[in-house]
Amino acid sequence: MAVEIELRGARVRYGPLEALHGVDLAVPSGAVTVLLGRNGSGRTSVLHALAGVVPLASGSVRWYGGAERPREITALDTYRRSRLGIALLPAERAVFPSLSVAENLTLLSGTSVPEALELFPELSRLLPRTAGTLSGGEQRMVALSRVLTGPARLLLLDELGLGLAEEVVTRVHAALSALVDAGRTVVLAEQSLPPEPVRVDVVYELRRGTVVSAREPV
Amino acid sequence: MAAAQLTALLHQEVGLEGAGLQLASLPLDLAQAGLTVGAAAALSGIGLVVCYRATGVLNLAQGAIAMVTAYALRQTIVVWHWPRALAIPACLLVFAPAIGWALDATVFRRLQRRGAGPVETLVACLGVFVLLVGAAFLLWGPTPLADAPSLLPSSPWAVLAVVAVLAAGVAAVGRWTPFGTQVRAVVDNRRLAELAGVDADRVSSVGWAFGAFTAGLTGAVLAPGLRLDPYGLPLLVMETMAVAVIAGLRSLTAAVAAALALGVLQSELTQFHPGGWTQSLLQAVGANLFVLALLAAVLLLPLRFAGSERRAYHAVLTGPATKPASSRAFAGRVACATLLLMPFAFRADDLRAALQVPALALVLLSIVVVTGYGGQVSLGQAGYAGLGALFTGLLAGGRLPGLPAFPAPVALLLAVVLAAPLGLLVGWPAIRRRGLALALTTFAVGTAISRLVFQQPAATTGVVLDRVGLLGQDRFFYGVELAVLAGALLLVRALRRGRLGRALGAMRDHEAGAAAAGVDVPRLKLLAFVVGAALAALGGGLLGLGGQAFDPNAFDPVLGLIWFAAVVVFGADSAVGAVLAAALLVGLDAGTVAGVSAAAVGALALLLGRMPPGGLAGLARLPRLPGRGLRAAAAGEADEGAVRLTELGRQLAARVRLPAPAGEPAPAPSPRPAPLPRREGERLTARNLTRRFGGATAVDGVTLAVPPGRITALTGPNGAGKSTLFDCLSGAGRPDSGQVLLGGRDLTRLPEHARARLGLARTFQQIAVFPGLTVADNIRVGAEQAARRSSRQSAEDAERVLRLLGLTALRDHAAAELPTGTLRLVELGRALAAEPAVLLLDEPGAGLDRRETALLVELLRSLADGGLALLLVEHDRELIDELASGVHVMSAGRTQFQAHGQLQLRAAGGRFGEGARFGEGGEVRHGG
Repeated sequence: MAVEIELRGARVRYGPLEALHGVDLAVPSGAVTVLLGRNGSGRTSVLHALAGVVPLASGSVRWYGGAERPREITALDTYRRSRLGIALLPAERAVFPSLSVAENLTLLSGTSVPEALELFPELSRLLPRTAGTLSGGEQRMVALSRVLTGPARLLLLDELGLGLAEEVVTRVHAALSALVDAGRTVVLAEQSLPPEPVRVDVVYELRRGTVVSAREPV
Repeated sequence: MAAAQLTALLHQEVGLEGAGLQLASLPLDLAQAGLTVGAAAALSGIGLVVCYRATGVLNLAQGAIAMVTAYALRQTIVVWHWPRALAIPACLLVFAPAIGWALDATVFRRLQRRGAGPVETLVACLGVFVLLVGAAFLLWGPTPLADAPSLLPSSPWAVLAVVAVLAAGVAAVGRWTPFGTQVRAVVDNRRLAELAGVDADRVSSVGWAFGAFTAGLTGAVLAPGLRLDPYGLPLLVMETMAVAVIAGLRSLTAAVAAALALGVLQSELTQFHPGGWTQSLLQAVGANLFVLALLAAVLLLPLRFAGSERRAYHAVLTGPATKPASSRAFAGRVACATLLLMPFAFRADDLRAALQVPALALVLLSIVVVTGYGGQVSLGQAGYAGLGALFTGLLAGGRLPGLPAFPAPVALLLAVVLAAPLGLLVGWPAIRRRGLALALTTFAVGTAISRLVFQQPAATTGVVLDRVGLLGQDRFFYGVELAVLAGALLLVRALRRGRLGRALGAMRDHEAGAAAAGVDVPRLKLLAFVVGAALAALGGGLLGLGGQAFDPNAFDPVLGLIWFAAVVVFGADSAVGAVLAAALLVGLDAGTVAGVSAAAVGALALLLGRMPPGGLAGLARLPRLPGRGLRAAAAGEADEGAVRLTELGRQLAARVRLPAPAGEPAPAPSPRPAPLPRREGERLTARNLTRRFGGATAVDGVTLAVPPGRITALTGPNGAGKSTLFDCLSGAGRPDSGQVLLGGRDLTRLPEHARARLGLARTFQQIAVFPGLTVADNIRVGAEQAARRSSRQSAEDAERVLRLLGLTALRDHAAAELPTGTLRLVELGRALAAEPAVLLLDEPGAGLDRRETALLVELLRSLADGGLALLLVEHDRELIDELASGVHVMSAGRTQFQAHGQLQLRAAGGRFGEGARFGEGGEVRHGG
């Protein structure tokens, strides 16, 4: 299976605390990769390192993105990685609070509003509202919609279901598997494996900032 | 001052200074004159608005950039004889934007990347202001120049045409290009904008360059009408702040309309000549119309500025939580004491100068209390200091009606007593404001006090600030000042360390969380401002007595801003820092020339983005590992892989029975201690609760009961109104109709903190902890405030809660350093320490890992078994199944379905509500 992106010996430090102690991992193209681990195990740091939100203290990030040979993107800015096709959904609230919902959905993603509403039609009545006035779950839907309906090849999703009603999570999972079928690559950072219909291809288990197992799901 | 500049502009236009009679007979010309002032104010006002919209910063230095550009234009055209066709583009399109670009690249970008709030950016702007004014002073001298080249015919219509073109251009960019949205996105949430592919650095550079261009344009257009000197334009732009504020920092049309209205009104006011005191009052009003308008605007308008208040600023403003005294803190105190004792050995005139140090230290200490401890931005402390001096002088001079002349010490004490309640002037508005809105409010009040009181001869005649007897000897007086300062420092220290200090810290870090923990936030704010006003007045009175005269310029609002900046750079929450700042301010000016201290503070303010949180004091508190505070703050979340975490994990593992995670043996269950302070559980009832926002009804006639000894769940689709209902129950929001009852008691009209004290505890969907407090103090706030425990008892209660949640090892860590899951436990601990009868938990399981969830389940169950009433908002059906004995499904503002226990919920099938009983808003039966 072709590789989409990989980390080589990645170390991430927050001040004196080292969050990743030399992580190696490869994300297969057109597949679902799940990062499992407890809070504090380093899942979020892996996603942040891939998206360029935190710099690496050492190690490298290599981007294939469908090409044969990798390109080293360790020093590339976040926004440039985003333009390469790497999208991150952070675990915290990820909307622009003083922009309208419609502006949130279409900002730079190249999508039109109707496209962005496919996944969450319930947002349509909220389009003119300022995103900061939405409920926590609705803001999460806006953020998800922005990431999932955008053009990115690689979707990095931190705690997908956070704050969402179960029925919505089910819908999102269905949308994810459709995206993967269409050739996109997905990395999920989760507490547990996602249910059907999401077909998980690789599971990396993290513990205290290192990958302790890489396996196919059982 | 700038008021004089505006008046000068007016008179210049009309051509005759003091020609009152002629003016009165020519209303049309008058309107024309008003238009001139109005057009100038409109240009500088929309400059502020445009810059704010482009950068998210209310740029106090806008006028300074305008002034420097005007000087540059004069330099190139008049001195160097460049052709205008070259000089004008060079100055307006290259020089001014380059200043903006450089400011962004070197100062503001850094601040915004780490999420600095309005306070830090304001202080940085002030640094720019001071340095640019200082540079102009050095390069071109203080003498006003009358030969600034004019670019436009001298008519208000020409200025208005520039205003119209600028406004139209800005509106067009905002509407028809994606750039406008990108700018707003970057201002709103810089990191997210980068994730969405926006080159935030470029966008903010362009924003700053454009903001500086508008400033330069303002300078070039207005300078010919004024005489060009280093102070006039910068102060003029500050003066026109009213225009920007009335426009809500947003609407260009409103800014222009307000500016023109104020300009015309100001000139019309000169028309009336009723004579006597009315005339002098009218004159005072006319000369200070823009300040009065600013005051009225900040007191009467709602002041909601996009984005600016939402950002939390505590993390940057103050350093890490107070920890047990370190050797370095001790060294700091020794240095401070030595510095303060040195003046006893000084020569007479040096000692005279040094008299200001302890007095100024007291004023700065007042900023530490209000802003550093309480988190309330207060830019008006100079006003209170001046009032202290003024009242002391009036009381000592026997000028207050019905009161005899008091000896100086008595007069000083009485002045403090008089000034303290005036703290309510800003305290009241502060109840509803924070961030930039509060900064503007306090600045407006301070400026109004200065203009309408200190600058009025009638108010300051007969002021006596002589020192007689022993106090007349400077050495003795200095000793007295030191004793007063020492007393104040001890008082502030006690305030900081005690129950009140924890409450202040909680309010500073998370207002809603503090209210939920039982802190009476409005009262505490008032208290902070009253104490601040008293301290400032004490310092101001001593300043006046030291100099033995009342000098209105010693309490100028701009000087007050520099004092504020000094406190912030030295560490807003550091009392020692305030004393050192006072010594620096006084020492530099006395040792060199006046103004050097301001330049030093300005230079330090520009470095704020490179300092750790808490300014220089934060720098001193850093552990010896390089770069610690900086990185942690920049990362915003030290959440991953904290070594301590694993320790917590191990503790939790020892406590919790687990559904055997892969590869790890399940630890033996440990017997659960139940040592929690607790009162009898009570039934919480909601009757017909309705809450509307504008047109939408978020909660629509909901009736439900939360019985004791059970766990009740509230679930439903996103946006159904669950969190709003929660807020109505806890008191964070008021229902439009309906009732909330605890036991038999009606809580509907009680504020949140009062409900907390009656036994209603809650947590938040977005975790509400106090990052600047330690874990133990976070929990202790709940015990002290809601459960009203004594200090010793609250410490014991907090320890018990820490043990119960397995947090003991983390007790002395600042909450800011901990990961999400742990913070949920800390927040829960704070709620438990409140000794609740009812516990409301908003998505308690969100973001918890398996172990933490298991701990939570076990804990909640044992709490319910102990008789507590629990209500959970939760999406996780497994968790609900496992815990809840009653479930309310909420949809579109109504509770539509109530299940009793697990079987019914499972029977409800894939989606809640299908094939289930509906009972819209009906009375709920529990445990049936």
